[in-house]
Amino acid sequence: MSPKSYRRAEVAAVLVPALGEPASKKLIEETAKHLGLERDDLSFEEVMAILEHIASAPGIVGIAARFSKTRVILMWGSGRS
Amino acid sequence: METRVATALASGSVQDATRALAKDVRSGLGDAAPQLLVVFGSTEQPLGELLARLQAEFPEAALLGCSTAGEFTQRQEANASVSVFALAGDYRVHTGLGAGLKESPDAAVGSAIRALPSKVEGYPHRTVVLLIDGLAGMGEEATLLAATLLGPDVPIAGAAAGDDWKVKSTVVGCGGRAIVDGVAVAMIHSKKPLGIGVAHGHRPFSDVLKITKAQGNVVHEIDGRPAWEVWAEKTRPEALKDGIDPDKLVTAGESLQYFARFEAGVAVGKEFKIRPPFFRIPDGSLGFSCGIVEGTEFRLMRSDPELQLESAREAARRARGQLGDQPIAGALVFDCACRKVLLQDGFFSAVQAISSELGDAKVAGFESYGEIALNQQDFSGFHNATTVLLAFPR
Repeated sequence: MSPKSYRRAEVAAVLVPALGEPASKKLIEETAKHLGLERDDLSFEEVMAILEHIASAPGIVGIAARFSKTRVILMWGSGRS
Repeated sequence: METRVATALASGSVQDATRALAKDVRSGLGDAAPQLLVVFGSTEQPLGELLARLQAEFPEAALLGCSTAGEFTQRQEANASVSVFALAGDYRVHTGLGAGLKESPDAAVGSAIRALPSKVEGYPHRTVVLLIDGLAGMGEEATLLAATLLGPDVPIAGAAAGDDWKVKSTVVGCGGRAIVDGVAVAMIHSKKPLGIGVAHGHRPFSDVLKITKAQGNVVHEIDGRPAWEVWAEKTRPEALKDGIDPDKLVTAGESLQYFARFEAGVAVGKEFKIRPPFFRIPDGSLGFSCGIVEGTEFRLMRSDPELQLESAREAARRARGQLGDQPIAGALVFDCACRKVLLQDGFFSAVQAISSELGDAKVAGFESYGEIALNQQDFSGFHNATTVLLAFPR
């Protein structure tokens, strides 16, 4: 069985309602690059690492990432349905 | 036990208003004692004194409240008055208060929520009513922090307090205490789930604009130019049609009413999230009701009376839809202050439309500086120019 994976656009989508689309996509792209994650498909652990990194930012960006992380754990934590 | 709701509206001194409200609540609930009183008071009735007097009238009830920019029930709408929503039935309600929202939103939201019981035996459903300072610029932040602490099984409804368009100071409170720059929370434990509905009635009229310089809730530049300069330029033709000249706005209240007509719409999928500025800064920047990220793209939005009425009905339909076929005892309504600006004397028609969609249910609410609605599937919970309802099944 292949491991579950998540595209960057899917990860950005969880931030879009709070931060808007361009800003969310840019955040995910820049953070993935910063963490050395070059592939478009990300593991659950890599998604968590990206959100964890963004969560350390001040203000609305960090708060939105912390919140999204809790919801992503619920949605994806047990693997893609 | 059947849910009973009483609504009341009164004006005058705090003492006179309290007396009238207490009488109407007792009359509306009959022999039932209220578990919760939600109190919406204008700047004419200081909230701290109002809550303290009402708490003395109903010592067993949980009290939650905030200052407003207009008050209403299903019977009437008013200014310089107080509206009350009283709830009796199979509920257990606990409240919390947190201070210092602007400087430390984590601490403020945390202190309001952490003392609340996470479980009450026999009451499997939890819903939070969240009221926040309307001028702290922390709307989305406070909502997401509350949702993070509460977890996904606790839907949230509420609003940002108003101050009669004075744009000086807004107040929230619970029990007999009220504070500025705060967060007030009521956790409602119920035997049945409650229904939350949310809808806005705005559509875009501009091309896409980009926020190119922002910090916190202050937007300095749009498309590389001072934010207000761009806002005024892009909205001027529409505003002049309404007989308003953006270059002649003098007071903070006039500016806020202008922004209530012309707001930013941030695309979220096929819908728009509305984000109006709240105040102008002398350097040409604009202050918003929550943090705005650099790079955000938006279009300018506006509404009309027909869209406003339809969105009020739609919010009610969505709340009713969550409750299936159950009859509705009543609903709390958090309605953006912009609706009054847009509908003027027709504002009460929107309140009546909401009550009618809920089967002529009793409703009470206020005109707010931001609205809060967050269900389990949502990734954002702070709204502007929107109607939010929290409906209670009978």
